[in-house]
Amino acid sequence: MPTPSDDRWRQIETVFAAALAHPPSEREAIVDSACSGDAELSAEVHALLAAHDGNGKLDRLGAQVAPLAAALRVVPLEGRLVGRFRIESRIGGGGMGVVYRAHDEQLGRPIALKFLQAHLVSDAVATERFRLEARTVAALEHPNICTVHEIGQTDDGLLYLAMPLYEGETVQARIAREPLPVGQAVGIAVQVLRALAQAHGRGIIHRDVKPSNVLITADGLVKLLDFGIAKLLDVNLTGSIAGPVGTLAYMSPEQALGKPLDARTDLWSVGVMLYEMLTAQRPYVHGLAAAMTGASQQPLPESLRVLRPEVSAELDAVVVRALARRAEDRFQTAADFERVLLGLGLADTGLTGAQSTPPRTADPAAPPPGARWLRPVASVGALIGAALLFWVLSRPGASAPVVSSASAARSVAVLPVVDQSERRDQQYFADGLTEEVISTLSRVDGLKVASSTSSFAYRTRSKDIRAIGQELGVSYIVEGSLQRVGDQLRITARLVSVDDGMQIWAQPFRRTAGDAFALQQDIAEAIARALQVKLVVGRADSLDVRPDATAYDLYLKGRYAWATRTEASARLALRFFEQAIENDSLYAPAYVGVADANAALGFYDYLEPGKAFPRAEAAARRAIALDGRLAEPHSTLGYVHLYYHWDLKRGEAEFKRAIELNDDYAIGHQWYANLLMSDGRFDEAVREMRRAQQRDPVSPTAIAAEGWVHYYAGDYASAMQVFQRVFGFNPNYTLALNWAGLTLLEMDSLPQAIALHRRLLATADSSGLNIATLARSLAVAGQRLEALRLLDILVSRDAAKRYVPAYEVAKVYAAIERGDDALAWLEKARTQRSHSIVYLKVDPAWRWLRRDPRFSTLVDAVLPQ
Amino acid sequence: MSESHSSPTDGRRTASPAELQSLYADMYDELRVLAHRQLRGERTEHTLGTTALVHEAYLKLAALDRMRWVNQAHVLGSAATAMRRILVDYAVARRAEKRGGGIEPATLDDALAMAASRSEELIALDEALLRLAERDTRLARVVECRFFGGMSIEETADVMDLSPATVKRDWAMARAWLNREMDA
Repeated sequence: MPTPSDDRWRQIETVFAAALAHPPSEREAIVDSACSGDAELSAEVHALLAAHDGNGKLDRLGAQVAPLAAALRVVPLEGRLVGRFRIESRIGGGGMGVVYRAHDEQLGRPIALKFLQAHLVSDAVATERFRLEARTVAALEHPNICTVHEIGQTDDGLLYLAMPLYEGETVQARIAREPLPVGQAVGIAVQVLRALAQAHGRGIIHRDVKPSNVLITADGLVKLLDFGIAKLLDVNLTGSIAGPVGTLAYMSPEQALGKPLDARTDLWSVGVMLYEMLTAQRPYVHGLAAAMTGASQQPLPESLRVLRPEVSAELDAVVVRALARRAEDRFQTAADFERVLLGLGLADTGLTGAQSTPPRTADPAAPPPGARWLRPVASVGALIGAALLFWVLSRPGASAPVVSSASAARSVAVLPVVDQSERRDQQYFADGLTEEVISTLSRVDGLKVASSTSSFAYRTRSKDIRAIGQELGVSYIVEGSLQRVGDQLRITARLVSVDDGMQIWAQPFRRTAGDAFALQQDIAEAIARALQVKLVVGRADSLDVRPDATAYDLYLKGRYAWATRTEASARLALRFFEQAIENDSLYAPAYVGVADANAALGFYDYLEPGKAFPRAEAAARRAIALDGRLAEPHSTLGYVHLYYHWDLKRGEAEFKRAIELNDDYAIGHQWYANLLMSDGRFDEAVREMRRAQQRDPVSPTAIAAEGWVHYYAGDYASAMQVFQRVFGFNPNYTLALNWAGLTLLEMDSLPQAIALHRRLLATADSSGLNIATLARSLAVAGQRLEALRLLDILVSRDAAKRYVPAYEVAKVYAAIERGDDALAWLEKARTQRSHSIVYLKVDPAWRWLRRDPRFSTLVDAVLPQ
Repeated sequence: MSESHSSPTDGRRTASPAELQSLYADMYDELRVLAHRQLRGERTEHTLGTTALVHEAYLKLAALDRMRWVNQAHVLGSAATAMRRILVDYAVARRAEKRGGGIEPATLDDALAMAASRSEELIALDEALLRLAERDTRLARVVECRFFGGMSIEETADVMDLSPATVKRDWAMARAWLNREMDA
């Protein structure tokens, strides 16, 4: 193209703009008349118009850059009312959009809102196209597909999708912990394939199947998210189709190369995901780049069986086939793929969820006979539940039955569930449910269950429960009823003692009608779980003294949320524990939960200590009043004495009492170690921290906190070794990022320390602590200006009535050697009753300030010898 | 944008263009180090990804903006420039590497993986943008904002102090011209 002069350029621009202002059919005439015989100008403008209507290299490249550019943009939406949704908190985000938890003010339920990146919908054509596509996707309904409730647009033009909010975790998060058991991995793939089979049947390709788009709900059901969103976003700025959109690592070769796609691209992605679930690594490290360079240069992925020896040759072959470079060499349909996977007989039943094919007759996924019913299920909550139950079962004295009236073997009969639906047309479902409860309960160790034929003989209930029980020779009867209104099912189950006809337990279960088999299985498991707690698990002296099953379930969810210790998770945990108390106001562990959640809020500076710790203390005392044999509340009291009252003596007494009551309680040892560390008793602290690790080998906190002890002890090399271990399984673990950065500062590795603290702020919440931590490392590295800016951001939170951790601010001032300011902020920390004060004696942040007599006076005042 | 660079009433200081520039220069240096490490195939798990770094800088500046130090549009504009420079730089480095017969370095950073796989197109775009800027700097800047900064028409209009209609016209012209230039 020749370089036109400025004038020429303006001319071209003017004619081009004029033409565009008219409909395409009139453009030719506009250009002709404007150019009036200037053939070169006319040709130039026509070429530009053709480029405008077409789809060029810029557009194709734009599709690649757009998600990256979009990631730069996060507009905070918290607190806003959008339509009838009140936005609460951000729960995720990625190239496709940002997801918020919101509350549906009209229907009074929680919901997930996904906002699409603004630039993708800045254009009316694109918006319209998007809505059109979204409606097609919204029409998909399948138990393994996360349904889109509605599509909306905010006043300022942001498009969003409203979707159900599931409690659970993504497969990505699950993989981050460790590779999945083979059965679970296959079970998840099977459910994803069922979802895909339905969508493909309607001509919809997902295009972005990947672990972060697959959710395992608390019920163990797999949900495929973001159906077709990639396609929706496959719209460039002008509304025409652009190049591939999706996630590099999971893209099929044809997708990466921008070739036409069919359903088989999704099957490739399932293959990648299955490989990753089994090995915790991706088959092609390079993802897209690898696929682009062609087969010849690309080494084949490491064999599954090398990385995971227990994978069978058959499963290996399935994955190899799924990852065939040419689409025609792969499975041709999702249903084929699913069938072959199921044929291996590996899929985990806890996870099979909705069935797409008539399932029950020869379900290869059924557990082997005699398997414990507590087979592995996918949800973490359930895993923890299983672990807890296992722990309870294996403790001495676990055999004492909680239901005391019957001394004989615990035996139970399940009477046919009564159909109480309006039209009495649910009997088939009720019977299926009865069967499922019987077979599920039969797998509970130590429980004798009357056969289904004998149970069904009592369908008419002509006799009273006690008579039936005696005839069947059982000590307990389970009976249930089913009601249905619209698509809402309500199943009530009760447990009755045959001896005295008393009802021991009753619980309603609410579900939305859907796949009958999945529902039956789900409800049967919920009932069996509740009964297990009633009939088998209970110990007179245990945590689980007849907790209400719902309360127990909420408690487990709370514990799971609490374990990660972020602000959101601590607050969520608190909600769960409070709900547990609402369900069962005498359930002591739920009070311990409330205590511990508040303690976490106080410790991590999410809530001011003056609020958090007194609440923790009150709840712990209530738990002790309810059950004096619990170790946990003593441990929490020790924590409050340490971090709030700064009373090491009483704190130590409580920790010792907790350990005496239950030496197996890991947190007790871990927190005791904190106290020992603040007192400079580092060897004892390391010993206690290791005890905590032995008792809870999967707790990242217990491991990371050992590094923290080494840090205060001045043993930086040992500290780093510990943190590296933690990074090995979670490179973004908040506490380890924080402490490892602090350690690197002491080791004079300033850029590395700053990098870690930047990552802390980028990957964790921007809590006061995290901001102050980065500010301090910048200050230590001499980047005063930026440190002060961050400090300013932090301190301005005070005006917004948010808690500013004064101790951390003081550390930043100490780092820039402004002693007066540091001391003033330490005084504030003292007034705030900051928990960190207990580390005054051992914290290296005060090294040079120790010479100041005012500092010694402060230490003596708050931590008397 | 209702907020200008100075806000004398609340007594706060406005960030000078020089300060903004230095903040971005710092970030840009970090990005370069990151990209070069990636290129050498070094383990970088202790470093932020490219997008995260730019994003972090953006958030940082956006936070300042809330305190009226700079306006948000300005921040976005800088982020767009940073994004362009890092992607193109990496693409250039990758091309040199390929020509030198070097082996493919592994990268888990989406931005850099993209820059690696699309290096030729990115370089072609960068060169085309330079030629466009010779004719009309404003158009090139509109592309930078829209394309690398992910900005809407309205936001671009804010950043550049233009009317949305003008931005729309500019964008249409620039897009058509660049598509043609790059396909040539």
